[in-house]
Amino acid sequence: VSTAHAAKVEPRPGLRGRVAENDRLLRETGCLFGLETLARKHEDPGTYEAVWHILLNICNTGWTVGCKVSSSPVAAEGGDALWSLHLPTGEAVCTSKGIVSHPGLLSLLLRRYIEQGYEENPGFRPGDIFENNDPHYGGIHSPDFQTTIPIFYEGELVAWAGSVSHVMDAGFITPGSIGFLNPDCFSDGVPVTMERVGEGDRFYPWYEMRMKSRTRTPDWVLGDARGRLAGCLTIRDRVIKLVDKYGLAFVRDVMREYIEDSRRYAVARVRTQAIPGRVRKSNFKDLAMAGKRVILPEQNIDCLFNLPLEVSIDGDAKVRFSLRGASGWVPFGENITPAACISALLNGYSHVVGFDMFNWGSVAAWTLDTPPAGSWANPYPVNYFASSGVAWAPAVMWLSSLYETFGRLYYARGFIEEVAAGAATTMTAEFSGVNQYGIYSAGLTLEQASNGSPARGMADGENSAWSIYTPQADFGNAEITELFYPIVYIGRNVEPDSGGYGTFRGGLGHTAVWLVRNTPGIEYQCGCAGIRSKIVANHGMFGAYPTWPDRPSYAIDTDVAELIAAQKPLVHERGDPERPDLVKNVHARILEPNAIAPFVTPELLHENDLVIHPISGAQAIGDPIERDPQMVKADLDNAWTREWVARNVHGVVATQDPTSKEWTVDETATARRRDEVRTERKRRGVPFREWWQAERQKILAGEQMAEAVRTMWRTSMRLSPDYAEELRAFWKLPEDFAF
Amino acid sequence: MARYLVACDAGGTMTDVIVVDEAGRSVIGKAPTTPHDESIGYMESLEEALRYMQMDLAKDGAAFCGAIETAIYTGTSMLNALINLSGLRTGLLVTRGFEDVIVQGRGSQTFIDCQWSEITHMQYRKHRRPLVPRKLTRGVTERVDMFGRTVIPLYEHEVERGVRELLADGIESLAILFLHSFRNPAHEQRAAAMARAIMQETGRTVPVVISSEVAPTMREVSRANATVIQAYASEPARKQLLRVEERLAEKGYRHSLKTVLCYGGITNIRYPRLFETVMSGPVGGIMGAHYLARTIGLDHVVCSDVGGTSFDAGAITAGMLPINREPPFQQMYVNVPMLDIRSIGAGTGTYIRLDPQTSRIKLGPDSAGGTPGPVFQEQGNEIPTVNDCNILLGVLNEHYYLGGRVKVNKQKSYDVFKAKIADPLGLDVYVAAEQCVELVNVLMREHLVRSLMVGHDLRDYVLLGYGGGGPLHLLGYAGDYPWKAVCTVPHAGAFSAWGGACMDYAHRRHKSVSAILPHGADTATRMHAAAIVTATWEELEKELLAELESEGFRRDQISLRQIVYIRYYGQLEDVEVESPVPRLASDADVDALVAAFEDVFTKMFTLAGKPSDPTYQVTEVSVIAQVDTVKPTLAKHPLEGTTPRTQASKGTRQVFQLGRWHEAKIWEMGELRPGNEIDGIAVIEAPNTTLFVPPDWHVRIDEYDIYWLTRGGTR
Repeated sequence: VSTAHAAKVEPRPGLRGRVAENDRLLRETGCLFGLETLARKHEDPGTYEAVWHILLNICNTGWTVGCKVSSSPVAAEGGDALWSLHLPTGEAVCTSKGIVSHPGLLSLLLRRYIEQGYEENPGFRPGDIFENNDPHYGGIHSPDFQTTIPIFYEGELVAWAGSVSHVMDAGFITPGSIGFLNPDCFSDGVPVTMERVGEGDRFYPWYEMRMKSRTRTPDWVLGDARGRLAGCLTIRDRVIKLVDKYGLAFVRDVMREYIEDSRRYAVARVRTQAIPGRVRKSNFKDLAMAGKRVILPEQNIDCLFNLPLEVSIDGDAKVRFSLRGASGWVPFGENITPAACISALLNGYSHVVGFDMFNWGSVAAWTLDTPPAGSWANPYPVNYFASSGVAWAPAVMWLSSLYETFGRLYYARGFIEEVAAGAATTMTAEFSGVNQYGIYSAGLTLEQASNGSPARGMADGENSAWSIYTPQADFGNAEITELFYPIVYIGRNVEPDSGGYGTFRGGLGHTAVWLVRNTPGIEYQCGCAGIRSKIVANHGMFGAYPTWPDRPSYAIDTDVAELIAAQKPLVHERGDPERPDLVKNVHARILEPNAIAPFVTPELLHENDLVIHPISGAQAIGDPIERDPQMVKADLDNAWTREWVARNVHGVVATQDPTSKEWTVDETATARRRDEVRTERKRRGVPFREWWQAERQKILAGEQMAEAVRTMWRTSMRLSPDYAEELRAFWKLPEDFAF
Repeated sequence: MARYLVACDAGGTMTDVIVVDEAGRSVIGKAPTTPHDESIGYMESLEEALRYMQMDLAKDGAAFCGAIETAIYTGTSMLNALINLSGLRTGLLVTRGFEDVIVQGRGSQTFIDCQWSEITHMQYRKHRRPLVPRKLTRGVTERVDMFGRTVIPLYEHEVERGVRELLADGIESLAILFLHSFRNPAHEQRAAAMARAIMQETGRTVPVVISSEVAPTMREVSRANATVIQAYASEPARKQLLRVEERLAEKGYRHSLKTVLCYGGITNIRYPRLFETVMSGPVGGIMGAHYLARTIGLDHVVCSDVGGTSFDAGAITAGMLPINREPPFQQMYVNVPMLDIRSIGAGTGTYIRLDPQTSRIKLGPDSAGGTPGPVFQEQGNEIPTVNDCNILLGVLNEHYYLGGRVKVNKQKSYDVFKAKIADPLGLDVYVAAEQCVELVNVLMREHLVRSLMVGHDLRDYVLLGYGGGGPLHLLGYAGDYPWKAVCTVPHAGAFSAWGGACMDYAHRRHKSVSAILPHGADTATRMHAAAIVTATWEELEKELLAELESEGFRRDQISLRQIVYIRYYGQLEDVEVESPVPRLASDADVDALVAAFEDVFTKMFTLAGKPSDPTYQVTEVSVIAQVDTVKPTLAKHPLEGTTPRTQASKGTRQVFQLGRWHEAKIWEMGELRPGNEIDGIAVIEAPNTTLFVPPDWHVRIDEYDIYWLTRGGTR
């Protein structure tokens, strides 16, 4: 504690009033804090810039300290953590690197403390530690712990330091931190509900006791807590020194100006690169759980989410987002709150706009209509018990649409290099059970932290290089992951053809193949942090073909020991989808080559059992038969695509030299093959009107419509009557039509 | 007869040769680098250096070269091979299922050196072109687990097939990487033996490199990169080095040529793990600082080097060199111990722009470097740079830039800076220029105090500035932080080359281990862990002694230092600790090691990071074997009076500082003498550098010719 400053502490009253005043000023002036001019910036642009760099370095120092103290690979290796600096009223000023989905949540959480009267009771004092992970009160899902500490200077609350990290086990009803199976909030694990969890820079003993008794991996959970706190303390001490040097008035002013400056930047970028109008991207996600291991009987269903993203831009470059048409809440851990949707959008905005002054400002550059009450994006008004075990699951897929919507706007304006297709999905792998050290452990691998990146307007996506939830996408080293779980990798290669097909293909994903070793038994949970079970979602842009759904595999009670003894082929990748290597090479009592994700293995895995876990690639741009044949050849040379894909999808005819393994494109045959593809497309094609009429008949007849489909449309229309009206109008359905 | 030390730093553009005599006097020669045959540029540079000594290479070469005690060469051939993809056609045998370990790498390699705004904006990321294409990679079924136990025995028929196919495909070297081979190298060793046997049978032999010999440390992606770099680039680089040695030998040089290791130290160019020299360019500065610090008795030094394009910094703590065991390099992470030199794109040539959307001042990170250089050089650059500001402010002498060899058009700097920066900001040109210089100083300062010095107390450290722009910005980035002292040297512009001559002969080996000291463990458990560490030290020492003895050193010339990397069990980050004891032979030895660790950890990560009831884990062990070498003498001079000689004064010049013009005294550095003292505001000029002394600062030159800078004359 900086006791010199603590001595004169007197909580400054009126934060609630200042929050209201800030709202009024924004409403009336269109500028945050009513800052119609950035006086400090104009008077002293050099110092303005210098202090920004100092704050940025302060937050990143918090990151360095916090991650090194943290014990979980998810935070330190996977980048699923963040440290930030906030105004007294909550708005994020500056953030460290890391998971940029969270500054928005921290901002809203701090605001909520103020609105709930915490300034008076329990009060904000130097050395206090506040924490939350409760989605009902500003959290996203319980594994993401949000720690904040007040920063006082000469008795005045001048800022907050904040941090979020994702813990390995949140005490869910099932082990781990990806609680898609949670039926309700009572299964969502250990709650910390907007609490003061420590004072004098120390956690209360009862906080640590609660983590020890209510999480399965308390050492990791508490290690992360210490990391969050150490980073926040580092930020606090350095901010105090900064104020010493530059003066409170200057620092206070520029912190607000940075936020307003960021808002202006976001507006300017949209004004420069996009066009006014309205665009809606339809997107859907399924969650196929019927017939699988679930917690409660009512979960024995398949669900379909409607994830519409509507973007309206007016002539002043004001952006408005809407979730009109979002379908209803689900009895799984895949519901999210409006606050978390805002934070998710803030994250997405950093991807599609790109900030070097990233903070709360961009949130003021747009608005999000309150999502339909009772939808997956706003469940509590209707079902206060809804679970948010892995609230990111629908949100990341919804967010993926942001890339495409902005991509279209940028394309329309000629900013082709800024176009990006949809992001990949995030299928997680968690293991729980007794590990190779004889200790119970549960946790997440880092596989999902590195998907293929989306195709760009002028280039392919990159393989295993992007994750929609953290820009620090990285799956780390297999040798490190093996320290944590009783598995050995026997494969971690690029998965051929796992990105969408197009003129520019999506970056490819990879496939991890694990052999279970050194355990009396572990459970594998193929989790949904945003995946497709059966359906294709987010199809790619401008005529591209989409990626395939995620299809993990496993084999229990295998003959791997015999295969090894006989030096026969094992399984190192998925292989030909028509006849996967698992089927070709391995015999097992239970062998599932094409499991529908997500799921939990039906029984514990033991020695020599196998898991094959694919990580998807991203979406593509443009017609695949317009892809440069030499780019197809390069993919063939790298074994990133297959000959029949080249021929059938890209219309590229190529042959391989058996000795050098080099592929050669037959230009003449390729031209001929592409003509054939075009001819075939014309043969199959029907005029839009005919297609529309046929589909309309199906809708009216309720034909080929699973219950999940009907439920989705029914709830979408019920929760968003104006959306229902548009839907009926488009399909010319009767006014009283309902699914 | 005189004896000489000749050190060379061949950069991408210029090759610098420094010749040091026994008295510590030095001369520097420069010549364009000749990548196709680096010996040409080397000899031309040496020739120029000799001219400063009134010698002629053709006439006096034999006598001179015969008197060279040590010749050290740092070249770029390995780096060029990696950049231009001009190394050997390398094949890779890898654990089956990991054939993409090079082409796929890992995501974090795609944004090495990117700024945060670029990292969040996905369009920027890009994998580098792989050194080994996928089609020259073959998988071999095998697996060893983290404990070193065989899970899947080596499928030898796959080794045989893979090697034969790769040889048929014309590979010129073969790299082998199997998972956890650092724990149990049997599979790699067997595969290598099989490969050599097949080569013998087929009559086609290529170098075979295995990861467990090259870099026996954890993290397969970084180990694969290290192994492949060794296989791909080391032999072509060695050819260049041998060629330089040959040219020197032709002139009479009688010893082996030495080269510089990334972790600081010199070695024979026949050193087997030549990839450890892959990035030795910035090493010279730190090693020079290390030598200087040892000579004058400093323990803690922050080394800062301001060049035209970057600001490089590293910290020597308690005499220990900073080491990064997995540094980013050429868009790869590499398991090679490298001096931990952290750089940002901020230098004297850094571009200054305004953001078109927000009018924010943006510095770099790109720069005009030496070519085309600042606007005033009129070499085609129309974007203002930091040195344009330094010229405008009068800090740099427009008539003495690089000793007057470069003509300066100050008016052009003024016009361009005014139009592009000052006017749009609505500021006076000189106010804006001063703000830009202060901003670059802040970036450098922040880089030092936050990125580099996390957990260290600045009051313990001396800040040393060097590099062509170091003395110019030193007091700007020293700022008002409480450094123990701030200093620079007169030959700051050539300090890195000088440092290259100051290195010991040193080899270093690392090996990953796992030794756990549980909380409250009994003596038997503790000594079991201690035995793992001690045995690994012994193993590494044996290897290092064999290497150095094979190079002709006697055992009594070699000193050994034992290092461990230790962490609280469960945490991911370990901390480097030099063991206070050479062996862990007792409970007390273990306690001493743990105490040393806890001292370092608490300083770095605050008490909040320390768990209650801690268990400790040693993750890696290292040994440094060192042989003292002949080095330039840091001459001690008699102190003269505090007042400089008359001929040192160059009059006065108007310098803009703190918002107004000052009359600054100008001094010629070459004419100043130990004992002289100068008050700011002053400018001390030399052909290759300029020391700026702001108002309220004071300079004192000590007996080693080191310039100590204090504020208000109080320090």
